[in-house]
Amino acid sequence: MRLVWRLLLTLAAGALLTALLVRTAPGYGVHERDLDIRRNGPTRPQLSLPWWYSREFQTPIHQLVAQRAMPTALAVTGGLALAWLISLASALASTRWPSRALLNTAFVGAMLLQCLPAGLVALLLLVFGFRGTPAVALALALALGPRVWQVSRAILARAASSPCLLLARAQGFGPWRLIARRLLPLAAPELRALGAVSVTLAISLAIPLETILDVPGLGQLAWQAALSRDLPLLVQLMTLVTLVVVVAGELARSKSA
Amino acid sequence: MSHLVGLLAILLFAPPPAPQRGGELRLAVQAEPRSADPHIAADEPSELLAYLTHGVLVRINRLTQQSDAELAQSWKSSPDGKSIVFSLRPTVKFSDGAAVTSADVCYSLARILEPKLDAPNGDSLRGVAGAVRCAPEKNRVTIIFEKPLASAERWFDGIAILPASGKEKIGAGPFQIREWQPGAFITLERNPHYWQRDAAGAALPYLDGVRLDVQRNRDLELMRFEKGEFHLINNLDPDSYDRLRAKGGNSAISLGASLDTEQMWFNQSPAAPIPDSKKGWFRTTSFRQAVSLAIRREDLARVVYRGHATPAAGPVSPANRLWVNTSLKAPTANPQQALALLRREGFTFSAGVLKDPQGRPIEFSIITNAGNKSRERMAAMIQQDLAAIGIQLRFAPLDFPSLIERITRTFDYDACLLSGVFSDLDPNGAMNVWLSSAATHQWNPNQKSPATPWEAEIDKLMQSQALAMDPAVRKRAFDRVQAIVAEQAPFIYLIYRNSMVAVSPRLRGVQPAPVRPQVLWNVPRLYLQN
Amino acid sequence: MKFAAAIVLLLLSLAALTGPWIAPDGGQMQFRDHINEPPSPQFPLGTDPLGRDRFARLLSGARISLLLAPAAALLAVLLGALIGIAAGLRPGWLAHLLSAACDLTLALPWFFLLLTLRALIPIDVAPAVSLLVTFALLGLLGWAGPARVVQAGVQDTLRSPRILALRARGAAPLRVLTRHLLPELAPLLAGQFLALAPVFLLAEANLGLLGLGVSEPMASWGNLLKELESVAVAGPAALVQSWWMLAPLACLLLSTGSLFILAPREITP
Repeated sequence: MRLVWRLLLTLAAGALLTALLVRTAPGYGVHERDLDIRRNGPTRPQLSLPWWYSREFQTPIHQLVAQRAMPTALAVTGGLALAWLISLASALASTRWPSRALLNTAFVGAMLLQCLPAGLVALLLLVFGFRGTPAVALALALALGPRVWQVSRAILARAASSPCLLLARAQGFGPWRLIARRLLPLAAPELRALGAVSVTLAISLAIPLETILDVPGLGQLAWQAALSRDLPLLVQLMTLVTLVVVVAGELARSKSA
Repeated sequence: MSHLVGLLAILLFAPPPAPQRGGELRLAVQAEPRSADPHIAADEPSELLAYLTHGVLVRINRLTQQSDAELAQSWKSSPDGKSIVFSLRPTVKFSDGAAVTSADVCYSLARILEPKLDAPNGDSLRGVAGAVRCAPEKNRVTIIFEKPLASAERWFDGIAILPASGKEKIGAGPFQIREWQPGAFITLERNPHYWQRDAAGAALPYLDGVRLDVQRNRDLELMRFEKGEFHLINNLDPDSYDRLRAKGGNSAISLGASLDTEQMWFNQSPAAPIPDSKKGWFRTTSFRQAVSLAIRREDLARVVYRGHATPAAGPVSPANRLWVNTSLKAPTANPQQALALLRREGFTFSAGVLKDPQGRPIEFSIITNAGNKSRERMAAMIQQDLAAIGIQLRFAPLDFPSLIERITRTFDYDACLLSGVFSDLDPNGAMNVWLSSAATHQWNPNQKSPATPWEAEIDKLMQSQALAMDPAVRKRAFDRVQAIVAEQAPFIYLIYRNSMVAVSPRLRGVQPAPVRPQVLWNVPRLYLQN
Repeated sequence: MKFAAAIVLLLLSLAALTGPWIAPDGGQMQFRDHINEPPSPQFPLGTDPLGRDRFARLLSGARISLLLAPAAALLAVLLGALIGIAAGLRPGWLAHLLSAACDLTLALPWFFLLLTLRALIPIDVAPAVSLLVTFALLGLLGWAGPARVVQAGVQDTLRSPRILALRARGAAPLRVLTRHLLPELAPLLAGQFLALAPVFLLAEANLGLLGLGVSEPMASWGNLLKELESVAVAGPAALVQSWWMLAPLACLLLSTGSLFILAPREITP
């Protein structure tokens, strides 16, 4: 119950802050048609729209979200799945078959990827013919993968050298059984926290990536909402993002989950 | 040799191959159309969509710039310009098969003039013609204006005819909307009831459909054009034009100057919250003339636009053949003359710094919209040009809403660099730029009475040309307006961008015009060759 | 490895600092008869579309990136340390508030602030001021990560036997904080700083690519990278052909790479 209250309070604070940010921003309430030379005199005030209508698109917001949720959902889940699959597999492999040379190569590769700005990665994907949602997913995987790999490797390595694991190994657990029964459960809380962080990062990266790669998803919608000072749309999109971030954070923190 | 002559004879006299029917024309729009309602269309994609899906009584031929009969087969204006009679084509139908009647015309006119709809073209017509009445008869419509309206039929290029039944998504244009995927694409299919036929009597359009892909990134648009995913690009930027040219082939076409101007202006609004010293400079004609003289327009055209622009002389580009004042010449940069002008006003120039008569160094900032590469580069070049006469220019690119707020509401800026976009060739379409009382009289809008004698003269000339019926009289008045603006430099015109398009070799029947919608203005007659 | 990284950083910083002597105009002078030229003795990295010396612009960009990104990182770490220590010392509602604030900081559309930033500060300030404000904003918004790490660090340290013993003996809290807690936290803070500095370098590049970064006529690695955009779309071959335009990317890779190498390997999420 307290959790629900906290969640609601955080969401309300987020919505309020976003609204404040947009309302006080320069250029709030102006429209491009103020420059239209065909118009006489100042623009008449807009027909008042209910709060669940986007000002820029003159459409109910839930409709806009429904239309554009798919590409973003696909790109974010695809990107996260790819990043986690590759990094967890290679992190596990390096605890199973530790090799200094392999580790160093992977480390250098991961570092190089981390040194590339995400925007440039998106641009390079375009050069090599990737388009649309798959390009966003791939860019997300390339941006998140190295970070997830580095941290998850560290977590697993620490867990692998814990006394509990050494004991299990001495008891004669096979390598795969060791990983499944002891290593992963031991590292789970920390991996879960990492998971929450990666979800947050993926969502915040979706805005620039969708904008650069021209994908009609929620990220691009948020960008357009910001450019046109569309207060209801931006507030509701950001409430959605806050919800995902907070829930992911809570799931990571809860010990019983 | 005789072979060659024979070949030439065949090429010249053989009948042109019959246009191929079918196929989908694909192109990009830079943003999603804001509305499918043709009457409130104000952004370029919406206007394009309206052009493709709706019919009008009269079409301005984008090549000849004369009026072509469209849904109306003929028209006649009264000598006093207070009324016009259109006779409608008897066989024209909407896309649902219903006939286009005079009632539909009157309904559409009343709708677009309804202040609550807030339609830009309606607003503009109301401003010039006052109250408008419409009398429908069978296949004939008489429209009566409160004030005389010169070339009245041209206004009807911007008034789409909608069915009086109020049914949505019905039009009398060559295409109708089939599918609209928000944020992604719009597909159009041919209107089976479209009225126009080609010379052989075959139904138009030749194309089965059009697909408009929402593609914001111009580089991606070019890439997809090169791969054959798009058949045309309507506004090619100079870099892309050069790239296509360098690759060989002749898909990139330059159509000469476009209607659009790039200009800067100083804030002369008395309400501006800027120091009085600055207001003083900006209101001094010689100061504005000196700045204009210091800018190397030919460098802007050559460097920023890679030669695909023309130094500007005045408000009307040579693309507007009927109205341009050809006696105006673009000023050639002359810093010495600029300094001489300033010295005459008491300014001093020493050690590379220009100071006003009170000894204050001349510094000001210029705003423009962020993200426009050409405009940011122009600002950087103007900065260097003005430094040569001792002026320190600061550059502040702003995002568009912030910019609009400053130039239309708070007036908190020194100077602004922006383009002038004209959708109408006729000076009446730009009434709200020149009248000192208008809101888009950018340098000093909403004046109660003209602030300067020359603005008063412009007001008088604009009003007199609007009331005159004789084209020669109107031209003389508007020529004088252009000359005053060029001399007083409230807007410092920099360049006219060239209109450049790219057309796939598969697309035939193309007669591109420098006026919107460039390649697509004769869309019923375009076809794709395999 | 770390030694080499430090040398690279030192060299880059040296080049950035001596920039004003090597190219006094900061790469803003337009040589209008030399536009888009390939490298030559006069212009070692060629010229840009306005005829400006790319090498001079690279150096002036280096000055911005290598000076301001670490400064922003320092700001973020200091702010994060302040908040983290406060929350670590006073668990309970303050810690809850902190975690909510962290979530909000991560979720809210701060890019919106960057979008309108130029319009929020007076128009006629010097370009350097608007630049400083941009990086200061980045620094101010980067507090959440370090704050969480510091909070966890404080709580760990407070539970350590040594501190427990000190507190049991009745040492003044302020004394415990300054004499024992801060020295324990110092390596943690240094690590956070080294981890954040490259993040801000990259942030500037990303902002440049989105067109929100340092504006014309100033040069930064971000807006120099943006110029790659028009070349890149012509395909990989065009990119290789104009190799000299990749110099800003190389500098960015070298400096962020070096900083990552200098940072401790195990970074907690």
